[in-house]
Amino acid sequence: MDNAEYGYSMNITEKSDVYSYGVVLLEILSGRSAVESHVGDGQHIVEWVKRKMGSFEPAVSILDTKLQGLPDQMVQEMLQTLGIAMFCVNSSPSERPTMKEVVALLMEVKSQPEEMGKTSQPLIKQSLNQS
Amino acid sequence: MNKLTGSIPPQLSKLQKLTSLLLWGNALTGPIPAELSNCSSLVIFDVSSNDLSGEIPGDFGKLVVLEQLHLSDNSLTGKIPWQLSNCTSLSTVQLDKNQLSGTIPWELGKLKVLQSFFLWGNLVSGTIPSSFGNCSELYALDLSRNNLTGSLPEEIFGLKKLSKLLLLGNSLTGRLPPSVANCQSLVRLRVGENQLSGQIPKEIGQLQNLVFLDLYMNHFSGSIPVEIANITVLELLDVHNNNLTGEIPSVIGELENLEQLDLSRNSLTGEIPWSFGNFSYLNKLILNNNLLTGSIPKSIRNLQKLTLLDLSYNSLSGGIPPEIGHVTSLTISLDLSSNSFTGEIPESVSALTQLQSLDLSRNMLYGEIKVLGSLTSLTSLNISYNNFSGPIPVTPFFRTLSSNSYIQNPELCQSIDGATCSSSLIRKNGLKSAKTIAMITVILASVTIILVASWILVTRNHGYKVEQTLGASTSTSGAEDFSYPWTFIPFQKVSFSIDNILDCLKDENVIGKGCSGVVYKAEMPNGELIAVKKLWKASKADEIVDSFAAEIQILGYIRHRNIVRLIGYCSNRSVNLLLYNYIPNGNLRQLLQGNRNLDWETRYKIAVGSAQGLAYLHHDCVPSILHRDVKCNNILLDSKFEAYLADFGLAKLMHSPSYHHAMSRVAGSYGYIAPGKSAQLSLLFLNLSYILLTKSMPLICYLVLLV
Repeated sequence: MDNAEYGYSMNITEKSDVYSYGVVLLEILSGRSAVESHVGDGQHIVEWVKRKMGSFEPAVSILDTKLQGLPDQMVQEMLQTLGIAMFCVNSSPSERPTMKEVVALLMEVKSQPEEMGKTSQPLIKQSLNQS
Repeated sequence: MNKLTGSIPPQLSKLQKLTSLLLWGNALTGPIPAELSNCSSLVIFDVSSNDLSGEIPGDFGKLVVLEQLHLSDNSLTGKIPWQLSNCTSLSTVQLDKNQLSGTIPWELGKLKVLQSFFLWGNLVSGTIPSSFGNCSELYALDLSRNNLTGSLPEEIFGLKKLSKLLLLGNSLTGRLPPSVANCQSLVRLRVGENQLSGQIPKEIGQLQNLVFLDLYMNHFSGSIPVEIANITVLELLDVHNNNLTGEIPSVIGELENLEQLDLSRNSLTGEIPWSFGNFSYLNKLILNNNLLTGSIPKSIRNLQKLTLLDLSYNSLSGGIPPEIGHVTSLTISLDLSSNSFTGEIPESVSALTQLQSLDLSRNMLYGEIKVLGSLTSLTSLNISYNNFSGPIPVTPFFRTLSSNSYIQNPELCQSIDGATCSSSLIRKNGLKSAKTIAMITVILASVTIILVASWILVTRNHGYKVEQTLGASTSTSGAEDFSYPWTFIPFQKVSFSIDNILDCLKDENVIGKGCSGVVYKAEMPNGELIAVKKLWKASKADEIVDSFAAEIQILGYIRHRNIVRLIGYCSNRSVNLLLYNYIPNGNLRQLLQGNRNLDWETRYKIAVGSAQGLAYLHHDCVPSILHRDVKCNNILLDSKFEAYLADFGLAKLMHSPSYHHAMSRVAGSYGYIAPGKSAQLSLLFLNLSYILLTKSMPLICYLVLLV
């Protein structure tokens, strides 16, 4: 699929906002700017994160140094949020979540104190009852 | 939750030790292979939310250890196989949202450990098998939205654990039996949209755990039993559209936990009980289309959670009690239409600043309607068929209102200043003369300005060519031209004037500069802080300015706790000023770059807040709004680090090709643009920042109730 979202067709979709939001999220997590002009590598933050993730360095190294060394629980939350950010900056717009989904995913980050971690049960969806 | 396509391979049946098969949320097609019945260890089978078709294989009856069968949300057809009754371990059966037909096999009553059975949203007909009364573990039974007929089997009410009984939208007949009271475990009893008749049994009052009681759209007759007041935990009581008669029992006021009360479309008589003032959690009170008389009880002021009040189409009389102005929670709708209310609109109504819809039509109300000008959130208003008089308020909302909203009020008149009539004649003439007067004013003002401007220039530069300045004064002075006339359009009640704002536009008050303009921090005489953004006006093209104004008006209606609130705007010939709530703590860029130790909780809060603001623009506004320039600089923070999306709606202005300031924005937003082939072009469009997709369509943003 053609990734071009702007341009002649004016194919402007909500998914472009989602991408930009993903970039903001990466900045919040890493403390870096979208484009670090003053640093030598001058790389776009999305490329930078992708390269880091592809390397042998632990994913934690992407996080802002001020956020490293915090309790495990928090680091897990950050890494989960990092996952959401990467979801948002997917190069294919159709693969990006909607903002509504992003909100839901973010909420989940903080709302699972025990279940997920403790028991490794199969992922069963909540049944939908019409009421 | 993937994107698997194709059909379910029958070969899976070789997996003899398979206990869970979870394929829900894919795009699987084809039938459910009957061979899967050979997976004799299968405990959980979940293929819901796919596009599966065909019938449910009867062979599944062989799965004796199967506990959960989830087939919801597919395109399954045919009957529910009776053989499922052989799956003696079944506790959960979810067949909802399919096209299953036939009847519900009575054999299902053999499922001794069945806890929940969902069949809603199918085409199932016949009666509800009384054998469900044998499923002693049954906790939830939802058969809503089918074609079920016959009566409610009393056996069901013998179940000791049944908590949710949902039979909405069928064709059930007969009575609601008094034996319903045996089912003490009931929390939700929802039998609306059927053809049930007879009286509502007084025994219903014994259901001490009942939270939802839906009896709406049936043929229930007689009066509302007073015993209903014994169900102290009741939160929802909906009996609308029945044939109920008699008075509303005043003891209903004892149901202090009620959140929704709908008694509309019956033949109830008498007065609205004073005791309704006890409903401190009530958010919707709907009593329309009855035969109610008397006046609105003053106790209404206690309904501090009420968002919607509909008393229309009754025979209520007296004045509108001033107490209604205390119900500031009224945000959705206040409908008093088609009654016999008299008197004036009480001044206190001005406090209902969040109200979106007001209908006072077809009463005998009189007096001025000035107070309605303070209802700044209104999106719909009808005051027709009354005896109102005096000027129609001059606000952006009233300007958009069609005359149908106030016809048949002979004494109402158009106005220019909101205080006096410009013409008391027929509306059309009034409009015309208003236009003429406005035009004359504008012409006079511009002549004065030109004269004054040239006089200043002449006195400053002796001997300078007067002819030249006459023509050029407007264009050359550009952004610094603060001359009158000014248009000042607030979107809410404000306590300052245009002069107060202009006084603050000094260099020492600048708090930010961007390509769209300069932002000033402005302190108003009462101490209120606002942010004023001074835009450069798009060159001479007047149409652009007009659409700009239109968009600004629309944006004035957006309300969300994570979006900067536009208070109003001002403009003269060359300057546009946008007024926002002042957000004191800078933007996210500054926060991240500062040396502060920004903790994770704060970062998370900012991430969630900005996501919610953006989700509101995308999903709760019709047509949806694209921000188009989401970036750290545009996320502002208040003293508690609540995030606010800022800086949008300037698309049209920045469209101007000559507007090269916009180009500087390219660098600023670069890095936030989604990748694409036509990156160069995308930069160009990005300059426009935020585009409201459709100009002419009305924008509706749903009120988001933040819990």
